[in-house]
Amino acid sequence: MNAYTSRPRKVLIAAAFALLLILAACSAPGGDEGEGAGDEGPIKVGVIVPTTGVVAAAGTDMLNGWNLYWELNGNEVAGRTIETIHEDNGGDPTTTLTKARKLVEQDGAAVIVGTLLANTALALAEYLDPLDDVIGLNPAGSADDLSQRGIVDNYVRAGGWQSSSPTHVAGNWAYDEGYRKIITLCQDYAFGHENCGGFTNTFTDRGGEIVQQLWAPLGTPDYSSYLSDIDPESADAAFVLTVGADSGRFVKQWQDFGLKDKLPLIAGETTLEQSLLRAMGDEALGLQSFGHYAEGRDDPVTQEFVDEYVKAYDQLPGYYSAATYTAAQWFAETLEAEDGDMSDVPTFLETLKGIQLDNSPFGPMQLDEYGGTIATMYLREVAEDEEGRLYNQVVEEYPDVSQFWNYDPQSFLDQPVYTREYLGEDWPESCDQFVNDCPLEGE
Amino acid sequence: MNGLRIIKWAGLAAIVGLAIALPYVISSFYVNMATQMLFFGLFALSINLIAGYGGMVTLGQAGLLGIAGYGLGIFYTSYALPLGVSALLAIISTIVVAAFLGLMLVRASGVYFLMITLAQGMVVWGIAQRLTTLTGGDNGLRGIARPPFAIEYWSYYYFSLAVVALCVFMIARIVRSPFGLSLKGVREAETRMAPLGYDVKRIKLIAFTISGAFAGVAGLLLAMYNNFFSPPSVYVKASAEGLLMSILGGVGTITGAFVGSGVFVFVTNYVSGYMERWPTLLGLIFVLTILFAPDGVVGAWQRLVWAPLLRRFGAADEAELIEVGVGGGGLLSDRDRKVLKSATDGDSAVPEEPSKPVEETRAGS
Repeated sequence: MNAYTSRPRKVLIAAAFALLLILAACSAPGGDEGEGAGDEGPIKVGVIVPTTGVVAAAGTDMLNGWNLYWELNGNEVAGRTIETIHEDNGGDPTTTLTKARKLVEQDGAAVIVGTLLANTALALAEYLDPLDDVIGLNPAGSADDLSQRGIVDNYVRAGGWQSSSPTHVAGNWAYDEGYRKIITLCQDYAFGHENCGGFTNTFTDRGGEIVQQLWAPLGTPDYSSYLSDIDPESADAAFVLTVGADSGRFVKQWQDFGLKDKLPLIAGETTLEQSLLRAMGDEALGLQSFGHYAEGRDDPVTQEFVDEYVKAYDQLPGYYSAATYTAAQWFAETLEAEDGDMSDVPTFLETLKGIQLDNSPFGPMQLDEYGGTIATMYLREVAEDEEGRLYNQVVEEYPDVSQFWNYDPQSFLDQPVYTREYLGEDWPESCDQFVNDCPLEGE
Repeated sequence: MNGLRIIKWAGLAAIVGLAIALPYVISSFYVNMATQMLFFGLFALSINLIAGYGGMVTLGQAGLLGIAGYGLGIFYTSYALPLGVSALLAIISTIVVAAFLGLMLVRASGVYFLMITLAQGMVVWGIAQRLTTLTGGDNGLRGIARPPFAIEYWSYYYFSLAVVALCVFMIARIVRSPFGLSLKGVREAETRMAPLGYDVKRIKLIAFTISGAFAGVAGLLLAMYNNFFSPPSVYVKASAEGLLMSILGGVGTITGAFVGSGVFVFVTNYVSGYMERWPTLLGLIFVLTILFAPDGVVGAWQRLVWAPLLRRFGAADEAELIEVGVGGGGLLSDRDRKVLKSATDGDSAVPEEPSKPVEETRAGS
């Protein structure tokens, strides 16, 4: 265009363009934001889970769990039809935001369910925060801070959990078990940090010592360099947390390196998650882990859920499926309690947060005043059922575990969230920071 | 040439009119898509600036986008500085980092250049992922605000439009300036540039730094758009996507970057809602583009539609330049074409306004 345009004319064009922009920006175009769900007609629920990408298997489990609840119970609650719209986020935070916008603005969803990975859940939380007519259900995004230092009022842990809740129990248990020196190997990202932090914090409170800390990046193709670093003589046990495909590789190599017989293994929930056990063999048998879910829980509610799930999808359900199933139950109970009326969102939110499930596939579940899940934690052991499928059977139950463990919530929140730099080794310093069972007295 | 001029102006007016009317015509979902198209287009254009005009293909550009995004997040949320100040500091940081990375790059070319940029991008990603206290690690940084006057989806669209339009204007000037020409000289014949008295390393360093600054602006817009910034935005995948956008649209063209980002945003946002295998579709589009239109959508347009049109309106010499590939994809500015034409024909090819382009070039330097 250069050859045809003189300089003064360019300035004129630029000025006209700027003016037009300003004029256009001054008068708002017609808003078409979602208007909430009101008190009649169908309720549109957007489910954002990854069904492509690295975590596609677990994401599909989540979608299955959600759909199963409505298939079993009918998708009509208190006179309102529940319409589910699924969107795939590929496990990516930016895509999550795009899909959330699409669901709310384009499809008019009043409820958003999701997502899987903590970073995508945090992105979703950021989007939901300023919206006052949309409710988010968070069944799997376990980032501690979502109910601790970065609470988003309308993003509720319905059927959800905190990363460090099971490992708080695990650290305490390890000491009771007689272990004094422990090696930790966790995945080197936020979820791994929070898991290892929970374990380290409670284990060192009792006087235990972490003798070696190893961090493996997510997607470690080969664990041999980490495992050859481990001297079984130097410790009493190892705490390990792996995620996704890493878990299969780790568990296999743990046996190949002969460590399975030499060093007791305490695993985090995701290392021996049901969705991963499906691809494992004898190497996983007998391994113990801590989690907030156990498909082998000997209870009619859990077993009915497991049976129905097997019938529908021909595989045992992992916690991802249980989470969305429970979220659906949670939402249905709220809707029932509110008589199908969602027109007053703050009231609905209050009821939603006040729901107490006496029983669910996870066991009893409710939220504390911060929106953190109070639930049963399980010590689980991998066993084989009659059909040769591996599953987690319950060894021990720890009911009503708070996200703050036995710590005083305020003191706990004054600390940063667990990271590689802060694993709570030197905290707490005094019994003032506990509400009960202070282990420091005997020291 | 009069008819041609009218077509050019009408085209431009249509694009500007459409861009401004957009939020009044389509729903917020599509306006948000357009906003994404704008800043991803700017990002692709920043890659295009060094890859298309300078022949330096990079796979680490998202790292620079990330420096700005994280910079904004850290200055704004952790240090609680005002948004404008944070944005300014973030851009300055990006320029400093780009210059520093550029120093490592100036000696390399071709695949070595590519490998070093890849490594640099991964280093930034690694820091974003591991330096949890500063970057929030995998969880990312939350709470990045939009400017107070651009909070709504439509006002943010206008804000992005204004910022991106300004950047495009600046890039267009840079490309057509003597510096831009010397950059093309480096692309075409690096070894010949030095004997001609050009400091090739300096040209490369400046180009890389400028490109980094524009990637930084795109990073700011992305961070404010999402109110959030996390490692995947910095990952090598994001760099590769930017490169693919610019190839898809047409390397070495300005409009191509936005066509490429438009296709990309449309598939990831819209098509993905209806098609589970959308990444396959995206791959297919890229493969087909490389096979049948290696000069990209805009390149193909210029070759197949624009050149015949030029010929029709009596600008056969210009059309010929596009057809033989010299001017294809807008690789050459109007001035280049004239210089080239006069060199080959021995007479002045463009009779109109012969002195003007020279004057303009000076103004842009």
